[in-house]
Amino acid sequence: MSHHEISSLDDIVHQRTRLALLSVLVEADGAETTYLKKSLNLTDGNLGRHLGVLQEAGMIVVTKTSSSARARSWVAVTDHGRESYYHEIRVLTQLVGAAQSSARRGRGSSASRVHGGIRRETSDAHDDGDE
Amino acid sequence: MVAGERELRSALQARQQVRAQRHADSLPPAVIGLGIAALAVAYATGPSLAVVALTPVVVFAVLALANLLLAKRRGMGAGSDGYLVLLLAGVLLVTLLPGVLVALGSLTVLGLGLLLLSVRGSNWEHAVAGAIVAGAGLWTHWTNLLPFPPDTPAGLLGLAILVACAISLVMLAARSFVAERRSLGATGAA
Repeated sequence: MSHHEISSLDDIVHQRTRLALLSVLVEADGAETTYLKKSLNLTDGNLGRHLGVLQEAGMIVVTKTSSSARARSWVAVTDHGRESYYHEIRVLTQLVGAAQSSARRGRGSSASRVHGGIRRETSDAHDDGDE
Repeated sequence: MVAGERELRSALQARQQVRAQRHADSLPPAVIGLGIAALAVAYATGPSLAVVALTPVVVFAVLALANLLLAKRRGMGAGSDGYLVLLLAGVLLVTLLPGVLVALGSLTVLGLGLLLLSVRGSNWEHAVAGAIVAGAGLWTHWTNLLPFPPDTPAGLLGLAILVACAISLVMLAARSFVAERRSLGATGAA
């Protein structure tokens, strides 16, 4: 993972709740605010704040639709929002994959160090016995 | 947990939840499986060209409608899996390109439908199932197994292939449905 890729992470999308919001909106191809609030366990204020940030960045469009009973807000993701979401997921997947494989390598090399140590100690013991 | 893993996991979980609520993984094999069962009944009771030709478009229409209703009930969009594209393709096959439908056969078209939806939904297991059904459809169609009356060995083989495809897809749908319920139960979003 290069510095260039890490620096290409967008702070607006990288925030966990906003990334989850975009994830829902991209998969569902738009949703009502009531659904977003319920599915992500958000309060009205919290949802409004995150939607405001995404809207200001041009990643979503909020439309008020009034049915006969009550006014509703429909949130749709823009092309820019969709591209930013996919980019973020791609970079995060690479980042997490690279970190996990390097952690595995780290564990592997420390394990081989331990095994090497055991082998050395065993051969030393054999050498001692031989003497 | 490595940096970014929490964000990635929560985004993927949110996506999975939306798909589970729309039954995006269980609906296509269920409806297509039932469509193939209807095809089998049509063949067993004496093949009717109209029933056989219209089955794919009816199945795709039921799929699109069911997806729309499930999404609307939850207050979300219908997703971008391609149900409407599939319906449009089905209508096109019946109205403007009946030659293609005749050349491929209804079972092949239904299998290709499942393949398309599964690829769009990144469900590779279902995509393979769709490809197998499409392959079975091509084989039965091109070896002329299905036009035989179902009481002849060739006709019986064709019918058995239809029934096997239908049962496999319904079982696949049931397994996906259980996984969807489990995923919704885990997030408390059922």
